[in-house]
Amino acid sequence: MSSVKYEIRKNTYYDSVTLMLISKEIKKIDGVKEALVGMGTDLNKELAENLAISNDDIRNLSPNDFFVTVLADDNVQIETISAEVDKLLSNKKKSNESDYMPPTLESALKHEPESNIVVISVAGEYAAAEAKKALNNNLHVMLFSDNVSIEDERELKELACQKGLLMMGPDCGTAIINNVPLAFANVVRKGHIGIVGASGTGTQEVTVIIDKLGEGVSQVIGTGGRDLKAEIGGLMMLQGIEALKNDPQTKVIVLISKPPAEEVAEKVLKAIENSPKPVVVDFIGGDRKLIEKYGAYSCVSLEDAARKAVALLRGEEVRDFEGFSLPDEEIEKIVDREVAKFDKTQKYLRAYYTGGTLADEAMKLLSSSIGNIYSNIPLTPEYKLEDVRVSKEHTCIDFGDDEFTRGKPHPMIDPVSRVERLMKEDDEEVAVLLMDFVLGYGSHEDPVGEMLPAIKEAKERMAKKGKYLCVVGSVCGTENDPQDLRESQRRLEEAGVIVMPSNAQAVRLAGLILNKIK
Amino acid sequence: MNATDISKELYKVIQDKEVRGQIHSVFDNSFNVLDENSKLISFLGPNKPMAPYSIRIKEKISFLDLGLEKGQQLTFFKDFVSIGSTDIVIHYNKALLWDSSPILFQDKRLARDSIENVFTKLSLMAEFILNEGKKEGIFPLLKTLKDKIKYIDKLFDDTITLSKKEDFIKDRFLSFMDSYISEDVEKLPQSASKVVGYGIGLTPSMDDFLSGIMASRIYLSSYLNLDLKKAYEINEAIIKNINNKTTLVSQEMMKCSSRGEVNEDFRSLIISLLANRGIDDFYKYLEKVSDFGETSGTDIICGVYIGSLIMLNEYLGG
Repeated sequence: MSSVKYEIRKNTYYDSVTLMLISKEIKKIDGVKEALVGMGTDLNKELAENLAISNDDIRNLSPNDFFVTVLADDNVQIETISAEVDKLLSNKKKSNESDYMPPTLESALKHEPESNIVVISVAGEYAAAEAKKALNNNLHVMLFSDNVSIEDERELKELACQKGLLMMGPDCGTAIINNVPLAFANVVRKGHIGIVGASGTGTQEVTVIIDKLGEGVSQVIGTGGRDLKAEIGGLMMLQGIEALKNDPQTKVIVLISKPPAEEVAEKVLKAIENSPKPVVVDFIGGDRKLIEKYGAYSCVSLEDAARKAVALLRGEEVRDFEGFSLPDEEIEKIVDREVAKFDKTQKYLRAYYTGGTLADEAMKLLSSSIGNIYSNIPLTPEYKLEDVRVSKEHTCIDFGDDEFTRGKPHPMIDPVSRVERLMKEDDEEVAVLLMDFVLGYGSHEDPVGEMLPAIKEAKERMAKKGKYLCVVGSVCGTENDPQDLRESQRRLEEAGVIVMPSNAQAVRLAGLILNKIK
Repeated sequence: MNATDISKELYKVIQDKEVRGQIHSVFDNSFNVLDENSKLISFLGPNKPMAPYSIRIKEKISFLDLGLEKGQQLTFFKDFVSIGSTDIVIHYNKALLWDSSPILFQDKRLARDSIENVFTKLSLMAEFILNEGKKEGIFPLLKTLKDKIKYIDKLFDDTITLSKKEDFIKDRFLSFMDSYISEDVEKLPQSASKVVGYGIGLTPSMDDFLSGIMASRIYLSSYLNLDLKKAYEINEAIIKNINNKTTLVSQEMMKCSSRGEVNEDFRSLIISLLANRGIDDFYKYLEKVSDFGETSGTDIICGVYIGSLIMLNEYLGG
C-alpha cells in the first residue's frame, strides 16, 4: 500500500540548487512513487493536489514555507525523507566551500600563472577562438567542445604543431596527463604504457583493462575523433607519437582509432616504423595486415590491445586474445543455462550503449556471427534505423550520438535516455540485452544505480509474459574510480545481470547465446 | 565589513531616514532583509551581480558561517548598517552608487544593432539554451508554443515529453501566452496569477521566465522606438495579482523586472542582445546569466528569448 508522507519547514528558504538536488534525490529513495519539493506557492499546492500528494497541512502552507511531499510505499518512513533532506543540506554546505573559479582564460592565467594546459568546454562556435587564444599563450589544449568546423580544427592543429603543443580535440572526451584524469577518465595507476587515442570510450576501455592487469599508463593523449580523417591528416596522433617516443616514462605505445583514411593510416604507421619502443595499434576493425607491415602489433579488440601492451611491457609472449577470462566450460554452462530459459520466439539482440566506440566494437565483433545489426551508427548505411527511437530485429544503439544528446547531457553523465528506452520498449522477440556501464570522473555518480530499476522492470515485464530477458554487461571502471567498481558489479549481479570483465567478452558471450538459440 | 556597491534608490532612502529591518533569509553568498515596509533589501557577496535594492559586500565570506540568522534586527544608519545581536557592521559610505533603472536607447551611449543581427543573436541564444541550458525548469513547456511564435522551432525536439507537472500547467501557460501575445491587459492579471509560483526554486521557474519576458518588453520597446507607456502597462497587468502567489523574494524580483530593473548581468545580456556590441560580450553574459541559481538563469534566458521574438515578430508583422 502507498500513502502520502510529507515534511514542512515553515518560513525556511533554500537556494534553488539545493531544492533541485533534494527533489532528484528524494525521487530515488526506494518505494517513492511520486514526489514534489518546493515552496508553498498556490501553484505548487495545486500541483500537489493534482498529483494526489496533498493534505490539509500542505493546503495551508504559505509561499514562504518549504515542503516535501511524496507518495510512497507504507514501509518508507517520513524520517527517511527528512534525513535525506538534512544530509543533502549538510553536503551542500560543505561543497559550498568552493575554490575561486576564474571566469576567463586571462583571469585563470593570472590566478594560476604556472598552468601549461587548458581544458576548454564552451559552445562550439566559440571554442575555436578560445583554443586559439590558449595556443597563442603557449598552452596545451584539451578541447572538449564539439561542433568545431574541420577547417578550424586543421588550423588549430597546425598552429599547435608549429608551437610544439598538444591540441587534443575538438570533441576530445578523455585524456590522462601526468596522472591527472581530464574530462571522462578513469583513475588508472601510473605506469609505462603511453596511449594516443582518437576514440573516447575505446581509450577508456584500454586504460581500464591495463589497470586491471596490474600495469599503468604514462600519458593518455586524446586527439578527437576526426584527427585521422584525410582533412586533418592525423596531425595530433603524429604529435602524440613523437611525444610518447621522447617520454622516458613510456616503454610501450598504444594507438587507438576507428579505421583511418587510407593515406592517413600509412602516414601514422610510417611514423612508428622502426620505433625504438614497441607499438600496439587498434584501428578498430581496420586492416591488420597493413599495421603488421610497419612492424606494429595489430589487435582483435580493445581488450586485446590492452593485453598486448601489458605483455610487451612485461616481455611476455604476444598473442591474440579472442576468448574469455573464465574457463571455456564455465562459459558453456552460462550459455546453456541462459538459452534454456528462452521462449521459442525469442531471438534478437538489443545492445544499448552509452559509449560510442564500445557500441561500434560490439557491432564489429558480432556482425560476422549473428548477422546484420540495425543501429543509429550502423556498420553499413542500409542498416541505419529508419527511426532511431524504434528498435528493429538486432539493434545496437549509441545513446551518446547526436540524435539522443541534442539539448541533453551525454548518457554517461545522465543515462535517462537509455533508462526511458528500456522502460518503454516491449519487444517480446528480444532475447539478449547488452549494456555498458562507464565509471570514472565525468561520468554519472552511479551509472549502475540509475539503470537498475529499468533493468529489473524489463526482466519482470518479460517474466510476466512467460519470457526471459538475458542481460549481459561490462563495467568500464577501476577499483579507484569514485563510483565503487565492486559495489557496482555486485548490484548488477544481484539484479541478474551477467557481468563480464570487458566489453569484448560481454559481446562474445552475447554472440554465443544468440547463436545457440539459432 | 565594507560594501563596494549600493543601489542608488536604497541609498537615497537610507539618507532620508533611519531604516530598520530584520533578516528574512540567509544563504551562502547572500542574505535578505525585510524592512518595516515589507520591502526586501539584499546583501550580496562580491561575486554576485548588483541587483535592485541591494548592497554588495567587498569581503569574500560565507554569510552562513557569519552566524546570521532569520529574525535578527538591523538598523541602517547614514553610513553603515549594524546587525543587532552580532558585532557585524557593514559600512557603505565609500560604496559606489548603482542605478538599477533600465539603460534605454534614448541614451546616446547605446548604438542599436540591426534587426538582422538581433535575430542572429537570438538564434545563438536558442542554441545556447539547447546546448548549455538547464532543462528542468521552464524549457519543456516552450514546446507548447511551437505553433504560436514564428522562428522558435529550433528549441523543439519531438523527443521532449511533458512530465505530469508540466501537463498540469500546460493549458494555463498557453492561456497566459495567448493573452500576452494579444497584449490583452484585461485578461493578463488573471492568466498571469494562475501561472505565477510554478516551479521548484526560491524564485520559481515561471517567475524567472516572466521576469525575462517583462524586462525584454521594456528594452525591446525602447529598441524599436515603441511607446514605453504601453510596455509598462502590459507588465503592470502581469504583476497586478501576484501578491502572496509566490515567494516574497520572487514577488519583489518580478515587480522590479516589470519596470525593467534587473540585476547587472541580466541587464548587460539584454543590452548586448540589442546594442551594437561584440558577440563575445553577448556570449559572456549568456554564460553569466545561465549560472544564476539552478535553473533560474536558463528560465530567464528563455523569457528573454521568447519575449524578444514576440516583440520582433509583432513589429515585423509576423
